[in-house]
Order: sequence, then C-alpha cells, then structure tokens
Amino acid sequence: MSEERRNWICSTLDVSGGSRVEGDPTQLLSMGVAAKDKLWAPGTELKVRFLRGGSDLHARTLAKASAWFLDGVNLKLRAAQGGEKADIRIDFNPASGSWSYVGTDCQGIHPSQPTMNLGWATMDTSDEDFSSVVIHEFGHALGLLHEHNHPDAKIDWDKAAVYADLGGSPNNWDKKTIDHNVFAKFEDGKVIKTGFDNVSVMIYTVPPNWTTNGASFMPSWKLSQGDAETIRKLYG
Amino acid sequence: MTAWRLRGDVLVFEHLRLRLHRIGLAHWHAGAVLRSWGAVALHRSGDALHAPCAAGEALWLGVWLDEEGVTAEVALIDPLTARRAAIAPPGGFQIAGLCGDDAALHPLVQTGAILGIQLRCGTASTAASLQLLAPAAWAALSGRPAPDPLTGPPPLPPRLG
Repeated sequence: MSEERRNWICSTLDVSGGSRVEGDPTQLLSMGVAAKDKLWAPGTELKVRFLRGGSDLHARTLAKASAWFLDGVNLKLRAAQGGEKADIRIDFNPASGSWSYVGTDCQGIHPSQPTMNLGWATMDTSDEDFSSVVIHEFGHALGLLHEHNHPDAKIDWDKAAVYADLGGSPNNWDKKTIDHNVFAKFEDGKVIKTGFDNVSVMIYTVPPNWTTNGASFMPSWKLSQGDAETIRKLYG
Repeated sequence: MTAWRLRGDVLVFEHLRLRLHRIGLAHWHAGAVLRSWGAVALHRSGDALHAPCAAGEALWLGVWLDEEGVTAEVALIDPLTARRAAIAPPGGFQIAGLCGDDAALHPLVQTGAILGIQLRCGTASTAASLQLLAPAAWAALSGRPAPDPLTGPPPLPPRLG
C-alpha cells in the first residue's frame, strides 16, 4: 500500500438523507450506509462517459468499477455510446481531487458536467491505489455513503485537532466545510441488514490524532465481504 | 458553579470539550492555526490541572462542543502577567497563546505560572486552574510516564477530495 493512498479521502456531494445497513451495534465499523432515496432503480443499466483520458485509462476504470456488479446485483454498467445519454460522467481533473455525486443525484447534474472526478487516478497509479479510489467513488455513485456520517457512528472526535489539520494544507477547508464533510450526521432512515463488516471500502480515513481515544480508520482497497453483502442487499 | 470532569485527557464541562495539544515552539507562529503534534496528558488535583510541557515546545488549547445550538465561552488567564485569551465555540476552536497589554500573542510555554480557566456553557459556568510543568516534575506528581520528546511535525493530514 502506498503512502499516497494512505493519504487520500474523498468527499461526496449532496449527501443528505440516508439509511443504515445494520450490523453489530457494539462494533463501530459494522455499518453500511446508503442514501435510501438516491438508489438507482433495480435493473438499471448505468452508462458511463469519460470526459478526458485515454481508452486504456477508461478501460482500467471500468474494470475496477465492475467489482460492485456482482452476481445477485441487479444493475449493469457499460460505456455510453456516442451521443447516448450517460448516467455517470467521469473526469480526471488532477486539480479537483476525488469525489462523486451520490446515486441518482447524478441525474440532476448538467450533461456537460462531471458527476465524478478521479483526480489521482492515472495509468501510473498503483493497482491498489487505483482500485481503492475507483471502487470508493463508484460506491458513492451507487448510493453508498461514508460510514462516519451515520448518526450511530460512535467516533470520539477531537474536533479541534480535525479543524486544525483540515484547515491547513493540503485541504484548506473552512470550518463549515469540515462540519459538513466530517462531523455531519445523516438522519435515521430505513434499516437494511447485512452481516458484520469492519473493512469496508467506504470507510473514511481517520488518523489517530483526530480522535480522543486514538482510534483510527483506513479504507480497504477492494470490496470487502460486507460491502458485497451491502450492495446485494441494496440492489438484489 | 457546576463541576467539570476529566474523560481521559479531555476536560468535559456540560457540552464543552477541552484538550491540550503539543507543538514544537519553533513551529509556533502568532496568528497561525496550529496543528497537533500530539495530545497532552493531564493530571488533576482538585480543581487544578497539571500538564507536562518540555523546553522547546508550546501547548495549545483545543475547544469544541458536542451539541449543536449551544453557546459557550472559554477564557484562559495568567493572573501574574494579566495576559489572557478567550474564544466562543463553535466559532472558535483554538487558544494558541495569551495576549498581553502589548497586543502581542505569547505562546503557552512552561513557566510555572498557574493559569486560570473560566468556562461557560449555556447558563452554566465553572473554573479550573492549569499549570504547565517540566515533564519530570509532572511525571513525579502524576505517577504517569513523562511524554516522549517531540521529534518533529506530524505527517501532512489526509488529502481530501
């Protein structure tokens, strides 16, 4: 695992609402979280358009994203044909970081604009790093959210340390942005059950100095068993 | 006056949370937002708090609320020099030093001074004192090991999207 991957975490755009995928309530990272009102209709064939990059980069991205489309997941993914409307539009703007709109929110974005950016994904990116960022962002595109925003996520934040870190380089976020992206809590929604998972690809990177008890979290670089159960539950 | 308590090394008062952090003194800059080089262990004796602070390092006080819609104030005062600082979370989260009559900000370093902490959260208020001690003296007082010397700045935080 490269130091590069250890040091990125993405932000989602417009993540209000959500539902919990239930796990052992005593385990912090047992939850899957999905925006219940932003899931794609079962059977949807999601069409992807790339706004820049070469065909090899496009093929590599689609290959990694296919990790979500398991047996039992009633969704399909393919590249949009010329002139065809795309549900997910991917840019590789290196100045824009990594982010994605959540689920069907992508449909509200102007067709000329990206719904996802993979700013650190190139053909030179290591396989683990590339997998990590692509699978994570496609998780958002399928409606999955960050674990740490769940109302039952019992993370003992040292908010002052987080403000101090994220207010400076390389992020330079203002307090309002930090409050929204890190500390905001989703409203409780419908509960969907999956098995216990503490290695979700959707877990947010949290260094130990951001918590008062030294807890730290690091996302997986590939789909975990719990992630697989979650996506099957959502789209099975 | 309402009682405060320690939860680990976090001072808890109503919805207020306070935690001290270390930084290399050479990296302390007036007016800058200071990063944490490590949290500070606290020892309580009655209403007095004691914190280790080695030569060559400064501390800063982090403050936050665990509840929205709450107003609070935190003030830190050196009664001998009349230097003070105050913030009102959630707008402010860091006391990086004390301001004197010269309007300059002075870092929180180990001088042996006993600082006053005044806390208000909603309508409740309380007070405590804080003394920064040399690590060996703090270890002798608290029975806990002195913190390791600082070795340098922490790595950059995660890069966000």
